[in-house]
Formats: sequence, structure tokens, C-alpha cells
Amino acid sequence: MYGNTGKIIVVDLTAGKIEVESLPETDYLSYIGGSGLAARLFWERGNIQADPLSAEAMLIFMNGPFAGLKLSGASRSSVAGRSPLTGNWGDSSCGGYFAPELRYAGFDGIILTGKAERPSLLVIEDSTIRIESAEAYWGKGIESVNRDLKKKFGKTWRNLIIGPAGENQVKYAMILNEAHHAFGRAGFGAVMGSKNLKAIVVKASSKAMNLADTEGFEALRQELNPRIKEALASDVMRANGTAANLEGGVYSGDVPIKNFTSNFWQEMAENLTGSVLTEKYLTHGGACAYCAISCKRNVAVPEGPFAIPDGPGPEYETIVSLGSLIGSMDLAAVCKAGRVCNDLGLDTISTGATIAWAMEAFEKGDISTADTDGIPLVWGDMETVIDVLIPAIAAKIGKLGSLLAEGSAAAARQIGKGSSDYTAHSKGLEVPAHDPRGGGHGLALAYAVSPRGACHVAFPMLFMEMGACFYPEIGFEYELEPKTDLNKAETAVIAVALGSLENSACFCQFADREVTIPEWVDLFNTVAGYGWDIEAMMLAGKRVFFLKRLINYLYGRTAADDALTPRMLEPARDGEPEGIEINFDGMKEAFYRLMNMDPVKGIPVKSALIACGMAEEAERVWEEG
Amino acid sequence: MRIHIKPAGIIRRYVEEKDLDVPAGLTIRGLISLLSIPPELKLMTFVNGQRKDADEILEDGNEVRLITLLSGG
Repeated sequence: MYGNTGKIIVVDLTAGKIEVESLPETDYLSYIGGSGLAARLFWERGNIQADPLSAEAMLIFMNGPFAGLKLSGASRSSVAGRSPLTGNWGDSSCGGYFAPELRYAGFDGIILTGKAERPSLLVIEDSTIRIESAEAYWGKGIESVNRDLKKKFGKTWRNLIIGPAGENQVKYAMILNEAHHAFGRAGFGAVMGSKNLKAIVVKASSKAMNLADTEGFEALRQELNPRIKEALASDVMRANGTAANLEGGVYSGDVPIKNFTSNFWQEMAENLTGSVLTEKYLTHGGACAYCAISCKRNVAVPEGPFAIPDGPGPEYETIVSLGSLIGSMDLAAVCKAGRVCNDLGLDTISTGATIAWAMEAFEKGDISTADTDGIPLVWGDMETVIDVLIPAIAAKIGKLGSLLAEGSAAAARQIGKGSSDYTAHSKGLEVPAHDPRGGGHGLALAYAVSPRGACHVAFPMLFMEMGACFYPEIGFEYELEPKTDLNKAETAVIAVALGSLENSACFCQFADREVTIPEWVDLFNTVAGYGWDIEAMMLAGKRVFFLKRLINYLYGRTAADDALTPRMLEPARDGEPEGIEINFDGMKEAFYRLMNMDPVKGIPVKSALIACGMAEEAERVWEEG
Repeated sequence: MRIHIKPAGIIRRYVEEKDLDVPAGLTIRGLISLLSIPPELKLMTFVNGQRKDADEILEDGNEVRLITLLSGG
């Protein structure tokens, strides 16, 4: 096998049993790697209906075929399984440094089931794999455990660590690599915690890789790396991070404010935009493995109530979710709130969105100090957010911490009083920091049909609507106007296949938008020898999207769940998108028709599955004929 | 005639906020070209706070805000 190693580590934590398995090449050809291959393995061998926080639940880490190649943006990986936050299929992508090290050690992924008797650490040293006690690390924050693990094993060992939030099974707990790079979304930190697995460490002694066409790949790499590095968007993010154009986003109405009640706040734009972060707090940039874009930030806040020492800094999603979304334009407070979430192991998007919902509920009187342990919840009160709310959520303490630790959808169901109407989520996953009313109406459709729930990186819809990429070879040549529904369903058909490819190849959207479709094909063929043409490649992407939909169908999710909350679909109250209606139902109907998906069940019709080479999968969901 | 340019976000890389003397009859498209803003940046333009397209003819005293949708994260 080329590119991929063809091997995975299979661990039963209950029995303490570790095995190495070889996967058939057909699995890779059909489902590529990353979240696609993880979906295939979950479908084939997972206890799909198991409670995601039970020992029976399966947790999968999976690389894509490009992990370890010296190509910008190509060394990400996926974590996947059933999400404890949504109860549906979930996956989350992470950059950083874990994926290449695992690849060099000789593995494409790790499948974990069971529950260790005691807090444990999975140690992978080339082909030697063992479980050690992690009792010394349990209860500790990610920053200190990262330091301790580096001290114990060595600086070049790579790690994945959960914080106290994961140990306490907060539904949106995350997993961090090197205490900076996040598998942020869908709560897989809680799944690790439920298995008593505090961390995974990996070290390889060789970096050798076996490619199908080394010379062909090298020529492609020489072409792509400079292009990715020199692209305008890369240059901008290298200088000012992913929030470089936050100010532009505010003027277009893309940046959510106060729980999506407003789409314009000029003073906030001038305070939170990326260049201000650079000028005031940046100590140095940072990058994922082999990536020349270097969009990461390291910051220090030298003085004041939110002073923090030099360390990981916030990216765009964190700046908005822990800033404007909760009514704050204090950048120092954002830096500190993000740092605290990192250390405790909380997804900043769901944390911010859940707090934003609670602040609005308090303002409306739907929750009172009787529900909040006596704490008033006030827009922009960052002292309370940092010192009280975030720690209470991570520890699940008090009425408020326990309520908010469930996520906004579940918290609103518990409170009632119509408070679900002003949550912002799809399928239980909180909406990230791009408001479709201002960012682009197609994004509303993309959020709704995404298998894991509202997600801006499941598909490249945002970039396609902004005109940041064109793919004429696969029919995407539209000049789209973001704030209309025109050609959005047609674009989404292309986006779901392409996004599924990205998240299976584990290629960063910031980098891969510079890659043409024929070059994508060449990458797969020179690295992994898949022997694809454009049609075969796009079919694999579509297959991955379909399989995740089928898994959700087994959880009872149907077309009715491809929805956004009333808050997300009400016309914007101010700013550039003020008063504009999103034709959500029209886009969704057209998308279903173009994808050949059943308008009630929400899965592809049997013939559409068979056309994708999914006859066996079709039998499981269409058995009644 | 004199107009006032207000760039936002990454447009500041190409032009600072300033007053600018321009020929009468200049359109927004002409202004963008004059400022050497890269054509790959998809721009949204506002004149005196109102969204206007590239064919809009500018007038003396106009405030022109230039933003792009290019986004990260």
C-alpha cells in the first residue's frame, strides 16, 4: 500500500488488549481516510446505538493519506464516532503535529473501545504500544499535563490530551494536541474521558514514507507549496491570523453579535480584528506541521485584569465566540477566556454559544438567579465568564454549570419557555462564528445538511460563496452573490462532495483552496496510487457524505432534522443583511432533488446509493424495500 | 473633487483611511483600479453608508467604505 500505511491500532481499554490490524485497500479506495474511513469502520464494526459515553462506544482517530508529507495544510487528522453533544454521527478535524508522527510510527489510525479501570495513557513508540497509568495527570489542566508529558517522554513526542472538562464528560469537551491544536467540536474529549483515557503520546524513530510516485508527488509539491504560501489569503493570515478580516466580516454582517441578535457593531470590529491582536498581544506566529501559511497565534497580555503569560492565542472562531457573541469587545478578555477554555479542555465555539444563549435567557427572564446559583448573567461581563462560568461548566458544578455543560440545545429543552427558539444550532451542534444571513445564504443550507450539525468547515461553502475558489472541471463556475439563494443548492451539491473529500484527505481548507481539481486527483494518485480520475474522486467524496447520512438515519435523524433554529432564519435586525429573508426551504428542496435524497427519510434513494457503489449499505437502510 | 476613503479589515493593506482628490465622474470600479486593490479580492462597497455597486458614479464629498468578504476561521 502507498501513502497510507494500511495499519490501525485497535485498543480495548476494558481488557487492556492492544492489536494491530491491516485494512483492505478497498476501504481506502472507497472512503479515502480521515472522517470518511472512520465512518466506514464505525458503520462496519461499531456498536452504533451505544451511548457515546458508555464503554461500548467506539472512538476513532484517523489520518488521511497525505499525513506526514511536507505539503502545507496536509497533515491534519480526524476524530470520529457518536457525538455525546448531539447523539448523532460526529467528527472533528485537527491540525498540529499528531497526525504525521502517528503516520511515521506506522499507523493510519486508532480505534478505541471499552473503559480503562484507572486513568490511563496510551503510549505509541513505533510499533511498540502500551497502556500506562495516568493517575498522576488526572484532574490536571492540559497546559501542565503537556509540560509533564514532554518532560517524561521528551520534547519531540507528540500528544493528544483532555482536560478536566473531558474527564467530567462535559458534552462539548475537546481534545488538544501540544496544548494548542484542537479537535474542538462535537465533544470527543468527553468520550475520551468516559474511557478513562487522559492522553495519547506518540513517537516515531523514522520519517520514511512509501509513495506510489515519489517523483510525481515531489514535482506537485514544488508547484503547490509556493502557491499556497504566496496566496493573498495566506499572506494575510500569516500577518494577522484567521481573524485578519474580522472587520470586513462585520460590515458584511457575517460576524454574529449577542447570540445572533445583531449583525453590526462597528466599535467591536475595530477592537477585535486580527491586526489589533497582532499589534497588542502577539508574541509570535505558529503553524501546523509543514504548513507555510502559519495562521496560528501566540499571545501574552502583559497587564490588567486579563493578564496572561505567553502561550497559545485565539483564532477567529474563539475571538467571536468568546467576544462579540457574548457581547464583549475586550480582546484581552478573549485571549484569557480562550486560554482558560484550552486548559480546561472546552470547545470555545460551543462554550461561547451556550453562554450567549444563557445571557439572552437571563435578559428575557426565562432563567433567573434561581437557575444560576445567584449569578446575574450580563452581556460582556467577562470577569464572570472567565472566573465563574467557564470553570463551573468544566467542573459541572452548581445548577448553572450542570445546565450549561449539556450544550445550548439540551439546556434550552430543560428550561423550556420558548428558549429553544433563540438557540443557534443544527442537529444539536452550535453554529460557529459565521452568520449565514450576512456570510451567505448557502451556508444556512450547508449547516443544515451537514451530518455532524452546524459546521463551517464540513464543506467549503463559505469560500465558494465568497468567490475564494473556482472549480470549472466539476461544474463550479458560478459568480455567487452571498445574500441570495441563486445557484446555492447547485453549489451545495458540489460542496458536500468536495468537503467530504477534504475531511477524508484531512487537508486544510485554507491550503487546499489553492489546489485545482486535476491537482487533487494527481495528489491522490502520486501519493496513494488510487488510480483515480476526477469522476472517481468526486464519487468517493459523495460516498462519504452519504455514509454519514446513513449513520444518522440509524439514530432516527430524518429530513426534518436538516434544520436551523428560528433564530437563525429570522431576518437580520440590522447591518448589511437587515430584513433579508433566507429562502431556506427552497434551497433545501432543490438540494434534496439534485442529490436524489428521499424528502422524508433524508437519505439517498436506493438507486442513488447503488450508483455510488453502496449496494450493501443500501440494504441496511432500505431493507423494507 | 474630493472623496473620503474608509477601508476595513485587510483592505487597509492597500489603502489607509484618507481624503483623496479624484477626477469628476469617477466610478467605484475606477476608484478600485486607481487604488491598485488586487482584482481577486471580492469587494463590497458603500457610499455614505449605502451599499452601491461598481458602476456607481462618485460625487464630491462622498465617503466610500471598502470591504472584502475574504474570511478565515
